[in-house]
Amino acid sequence: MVETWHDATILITQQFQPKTDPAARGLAAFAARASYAAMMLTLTWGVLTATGWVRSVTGRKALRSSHMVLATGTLIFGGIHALGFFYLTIQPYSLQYLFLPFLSGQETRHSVGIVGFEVMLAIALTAGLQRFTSYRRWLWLHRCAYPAVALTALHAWFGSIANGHLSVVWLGGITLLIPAATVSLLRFMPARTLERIGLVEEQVA
Amino acid sequence: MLSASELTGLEFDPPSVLDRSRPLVRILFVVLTVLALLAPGSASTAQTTAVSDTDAVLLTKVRQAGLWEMPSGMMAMEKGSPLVQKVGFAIMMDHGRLDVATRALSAKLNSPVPDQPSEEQRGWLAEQVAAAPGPAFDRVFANRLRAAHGAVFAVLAQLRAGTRNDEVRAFATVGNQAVMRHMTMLESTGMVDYTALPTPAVSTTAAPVGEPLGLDTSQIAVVGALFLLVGGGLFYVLRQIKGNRGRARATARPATARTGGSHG
Repeated sequence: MVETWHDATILITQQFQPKTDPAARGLAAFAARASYAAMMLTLTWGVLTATGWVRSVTGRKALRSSHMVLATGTLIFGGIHALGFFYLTIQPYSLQYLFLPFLSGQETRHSVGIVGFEVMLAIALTAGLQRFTSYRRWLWLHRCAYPAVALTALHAWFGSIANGHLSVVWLGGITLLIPAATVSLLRFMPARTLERIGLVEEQVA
Repeated sequence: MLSASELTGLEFDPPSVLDRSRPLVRILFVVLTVLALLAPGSASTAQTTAVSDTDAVLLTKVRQAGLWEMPSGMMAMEKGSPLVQKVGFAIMMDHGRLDVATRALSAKLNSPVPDQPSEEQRGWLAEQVAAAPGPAFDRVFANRLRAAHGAVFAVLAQLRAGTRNDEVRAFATVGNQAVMRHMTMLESTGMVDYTALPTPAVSTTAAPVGEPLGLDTSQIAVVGALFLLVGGGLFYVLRQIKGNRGRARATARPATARTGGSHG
């Protein structure tokens, strides 16, 4: 009889197989991490393109191209991350939930991520429209990338906490965050301070 | 008339390869020093994934508990009073879920678990098989399961409190809650003889002072060091590049201010 207990256990527990979709969730998590990395590098490259701080090493063209490639990667991986939840076989999210922020019943961290993603999408779509609008207006929209990145980073951090992945990703997450935060901070420092710390050349002529 | 920077530029002597590599050597030295300092910290975080012997004991205990309590639950549904039937069903279902989690974690951590109940547990099952349906079975069922749950509860609590493995901790939390729930359900049958249970073996001296909760100091140190290393390093590199470029420009023509303020 003892031999049959194990069989009985297997039989009973077959109905309790995991009620999740590990493949789709794994892909969504990978896309989220790739998007986060690309996003942080996009911001860093963007600041370096705008300020010309490393132009002597790379040239502006190469910096700008890399910035655009990274931005495209951010959006593609971000889109895959969102769509991953639409294609879950068990309890999928609706497209409405995934792309419309502030719906009733939507978690705040999701709304924040959706807003960040859509602002970035708007920036990407308008990046090539500079000649059709005033430069100031275009620049204003392009600079919305800073709060968009901050919101998406919050979405990423709260997501990893909620899913219990923080212990796995925190070190990589912070390592990628620091360069972006450093150059953003330097970017918005007054010119006089930048001159004093040697990031802006002295005006002598 | 030449400006000050042009004069400086004329006197500027291009640095040799050795001079140029000095900052890199300094950076490398700082990086290696910080990494050496962080080594104990990284070792402490690595412990969170290691599987100890006690973690293996936890998986074995939960697995074997399921292996005899699920058949007990099935028997309770056949031989017990209506209340015991409900309790038996609930325990069987709960252990079904726990068993799935146990086997998944066992496979993930590569820590094999038995697929048979222990000799003692087989004896308890034999008692239940021999008991007559109705109150006699109810008594054997409630007391055997309550006593076994009490023993597992203590082990689970100890392992939950002390394990270094994150996944085992989460698993022990679920197991601990399940065992607590089962004890409550078994006691609700009114059949449990509390005087037959072993007396609690707890130290009567004052409880030791626990470590303060919050972030691990090694983690704070890692974050601080990263900010210093990556942020400071990036700033230093930018400054070096900018400085070299400034000097190079100064040799050619007067410098102009570049703040980059007109771009995104």
